[in-house]
Amino acid sequence: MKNKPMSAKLSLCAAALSAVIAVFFLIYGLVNTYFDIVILLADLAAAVLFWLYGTKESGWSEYMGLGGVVLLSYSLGLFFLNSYTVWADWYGNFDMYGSRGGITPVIIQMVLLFAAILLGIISCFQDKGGKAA
Amino acid sequence: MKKKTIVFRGLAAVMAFVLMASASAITLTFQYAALINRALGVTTTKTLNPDGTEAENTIYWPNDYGYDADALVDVYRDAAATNVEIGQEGAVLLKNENSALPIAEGSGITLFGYAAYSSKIQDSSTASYMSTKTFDQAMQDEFGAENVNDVLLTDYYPNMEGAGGGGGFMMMSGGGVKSITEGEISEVKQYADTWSSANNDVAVVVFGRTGSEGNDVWQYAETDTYEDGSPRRMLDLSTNEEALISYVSDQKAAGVFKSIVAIIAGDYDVEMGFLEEYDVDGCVYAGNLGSYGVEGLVKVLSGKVSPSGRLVDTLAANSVSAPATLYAGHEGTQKWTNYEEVDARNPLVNDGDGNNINWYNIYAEGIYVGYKYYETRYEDTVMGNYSADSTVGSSTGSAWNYADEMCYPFGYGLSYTTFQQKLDSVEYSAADDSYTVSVTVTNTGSVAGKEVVQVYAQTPYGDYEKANLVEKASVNLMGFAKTGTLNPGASETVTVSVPRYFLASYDTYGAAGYILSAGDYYLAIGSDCHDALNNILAAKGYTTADGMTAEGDSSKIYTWAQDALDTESYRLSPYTGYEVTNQFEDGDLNYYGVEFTYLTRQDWEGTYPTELLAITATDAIIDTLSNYYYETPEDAPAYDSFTQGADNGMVLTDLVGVDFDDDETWNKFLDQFTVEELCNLMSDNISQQVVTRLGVVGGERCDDDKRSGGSITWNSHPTTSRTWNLDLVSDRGTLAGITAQLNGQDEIWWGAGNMHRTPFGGRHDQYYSEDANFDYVIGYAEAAAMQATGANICVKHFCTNDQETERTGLTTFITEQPLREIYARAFEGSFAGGAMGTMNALNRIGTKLAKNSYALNTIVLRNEWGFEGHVTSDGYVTLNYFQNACEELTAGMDYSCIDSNGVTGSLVYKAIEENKDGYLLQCIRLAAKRNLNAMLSTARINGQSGDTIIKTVVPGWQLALMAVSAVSGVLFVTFTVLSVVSRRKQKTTVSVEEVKSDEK
Repeated sequence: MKNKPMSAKLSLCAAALSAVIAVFFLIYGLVNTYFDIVILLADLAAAVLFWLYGTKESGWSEYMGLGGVVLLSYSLGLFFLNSYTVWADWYGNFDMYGSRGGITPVIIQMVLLFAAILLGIISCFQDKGGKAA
Repeated sequence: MKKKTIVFRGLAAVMAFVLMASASAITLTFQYAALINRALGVTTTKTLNPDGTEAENTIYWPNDYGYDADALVDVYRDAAATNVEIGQEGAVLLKNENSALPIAEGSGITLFGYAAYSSKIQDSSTASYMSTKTFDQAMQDEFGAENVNDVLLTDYYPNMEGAGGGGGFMMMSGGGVKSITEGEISEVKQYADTWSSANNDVAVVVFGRTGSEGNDVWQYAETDTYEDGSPRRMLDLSTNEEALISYVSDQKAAGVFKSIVAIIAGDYDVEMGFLEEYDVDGCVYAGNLGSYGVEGLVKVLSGKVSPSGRLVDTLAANSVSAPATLYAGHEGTQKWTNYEEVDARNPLVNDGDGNNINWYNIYAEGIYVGYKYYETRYEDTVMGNYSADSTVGSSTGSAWNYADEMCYPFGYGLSYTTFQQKLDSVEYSAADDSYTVSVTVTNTGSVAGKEVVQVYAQTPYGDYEKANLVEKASVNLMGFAKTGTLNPGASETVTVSVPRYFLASYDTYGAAGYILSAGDYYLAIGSDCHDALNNILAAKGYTTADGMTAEGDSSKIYTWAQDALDTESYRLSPYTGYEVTNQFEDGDLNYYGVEFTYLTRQDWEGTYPTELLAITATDAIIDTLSNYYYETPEDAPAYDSFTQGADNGMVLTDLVGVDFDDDETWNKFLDQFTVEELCNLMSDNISQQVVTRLGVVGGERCDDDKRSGGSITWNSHPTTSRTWNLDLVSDRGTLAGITAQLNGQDEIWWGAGNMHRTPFGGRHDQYYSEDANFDYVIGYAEAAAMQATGANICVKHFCTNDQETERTGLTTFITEQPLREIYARAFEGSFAGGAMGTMNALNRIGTKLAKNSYALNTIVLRNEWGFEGHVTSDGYVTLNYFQNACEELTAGMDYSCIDSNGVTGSLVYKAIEENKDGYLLQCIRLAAKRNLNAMLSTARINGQSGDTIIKTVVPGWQLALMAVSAVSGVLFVTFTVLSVVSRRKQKTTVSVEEVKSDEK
């Protein structure tokens, strides 16, 4: 890890964060009887892609980080859309559409996703070294 | 080369994020486009003349204010002034001893109570020319800043633990909490220096309670207890509140304060026993005062205006002492004991956690809601009837006694002056089928003021009624009127119209219709419902020696006898002539095979509900909970018997002035729609769906006065009701309607007729009162006024949505008499007044969802009452719950509220087209007709005619979002490709260099 270029380090951080996000989402879903398999798969797949980018040196792994960003962005968008019930209840200060544990876990999930995306984007702007790229 | 590859890759990543973000934004914002457009002041259609110029905006529904920017300013100013008036007249003076009120000029005042610390509501639309005030600011402006000690409001309450949000007088939120926010008395005492030597003529202490949508008030606190360890009632003072009033009372006893004035903020009926217990001199029930009402309240406190408000709810000594409170709200709403089986057998309608099918409630109290319970039991106690004085339902544990149970009855309110009311005459007019009650009111005091004349009735409760379980309350409000301002010594004669229809009772088990009982009838005037009953008892010969709380005055009674039972007068609807008979037998729990006895007056002890009944859902219950039952009727008209998509050259405004029953003209217009267009009209997008070629513009609908964009925050509905002033109610309807019109809104989902069945309903602030006839009269006035402006009043939530707890699918067991006499009657006046819309309740009547009820939405609403407007669901459809679209349509529901994805319309369209279902097509044509008829009653059609052209306009913000999404998408692909190409070139270069290197 020490000898890895900054791009790979950031990507591995994004991978770890994506895995944490997936676990957080899983727990959130279990606690609030809410589940969206697409979001979970996108988070897990992003973690794998970031990890591949950070550990593999050749070929198309160069674009795995970009793929991770795409998947996490998709996950963020979908999660935000699907949480509008929570936002609506929070905004209206009522319990009408399904509060699902309130606004805090939703914001945490979105902040974590955004942080992972940011790491991924910065990583994409960095040179990973190696033969190609 | 390598650098380029990386930069392109990074930019592609950025674009991926922007693309996803903009796509999400498009998905979400387009769904709520109408809301956003309204907030931005953007319209999506333009009405143009044939030459392309914009059509004028005043034809069918003009208003007195005009249409330019100044018009809106003017109407807001008038609305603000009306709110101040409502704040004045809605204030109810409950107690006034030792000349505590009005507060004398120059008096030093100290403000206490967390509820006094309230955030003001500064409506954005009025910010530029009118400011609102907090209670503190209003008090300082009225009494002089130097005379008002607000140290607790400025230094302590904002910073204390648990502080947050708004306080008492304004639009409150935060219901559902199980504790009351109030300061610690030890902290309050830290500021004692500020009132020990100055500002100590009057201690003003404010208490308040909150509820909100989705959250009833809990009956009991979670951790706060009485001294014996039992949980405190939430509407009693909390421990901290009691410590505060006790401290202030001690300060008064010690000579620090001369008097104590308590103010009740919000629309919840705080238990008022503390007034006597802590030697409080004066008390005003102020209510929920919106943005401007607080300025009216302080004028009452200063004596510039004499209070003239009257209670619209019972203030019981114990908030859980009414029979309705057992099965109510958080504590009284139960799950079937076999709810898992209920879930399993109803997978299609289970919303995931079963909340929409698992819960039930029982209106065990029957008609004995609010004062009808307390006063009826009082009369029976005085007359020694029906074990009324048993201990059951007693707050003290000893024999039930009215004085122990009551603080202030329905209709109660004092003034700074005194009045005398004289019953002049009562005359019946067969032409109007109503009694005209004439009363002369004289101001016998020393200051000017207004007085309310209240007329109540008692109808016979004899053997027939007992045998057929026709319940009768001892007093029922029949009508009321308010005088103008009367100077000392001045008199005014007012008349109150009492429809004879109000004297009829619904007889479910005997005549299966409305009856006029045989026996003695009494019409009584009184200062409140209890006073009126005492007058009736006096006419019957009873006195305080019989246990009456006060002597009555039989001169305030008009009485007559009816010889025989009359089952014919109201056999047919007075509105339409349609036969009125039982429709809601499936609302009764007994219908499902579960034996249950509702409260009956003839056996208080045996039928007063004391323990919650745990119900195991029977097969009959489980089978009917699904609400999927639609099948094409055998005699359905053929699909092909309807013509759709024709070109008959008509646009919507060609129907202006066309009678609703003119089927030929309407059908000619409806024939022009395609089936899909008809179905689309059923899906609301916070607006009507647009069919431009037929002149059907979108319109905008909004959710009551407090939430409509660009409106102002009105005093709450019950605060307005407490004025008992129909002129003010009409003014509110008119101004709310014109505000809507000028803001481009044509329909307001307006709180109205749900009942204050118990003191704990989360949305008391949206519903008028605890009395159905009162609601009828208020609703009539408000609906008539608002409709006259060209804005649809869409009264909600029809009906029995009287609590928030588990309201989405709550099974409500109720018998037909209370359903008709109370819960439907409370809406009936709005429709009689011309309301063109109503929103269904989310709950069920029996096991049938209100929106699926043909009996409710078609037979009662249309056939009996003659309603020609449209019915909407409550706004719950975006989650795809309860999409019994075909059942809803055939029941008489016309559109689905906030169905932005068009789910309901799509389901109906699919059902029609797949099955070539002529019956559904007939129903969707009828629904479309009602939706369009409702639109014709709005100013939305202003500026349109057969010659005008309607052009759809895509708002700029939507174009911008689409552009961002498209550009980011293109850039993402471009940067990705460039990065890959660059990488390949780089790879080739590296390879060539490696070959060269190897050759060397």
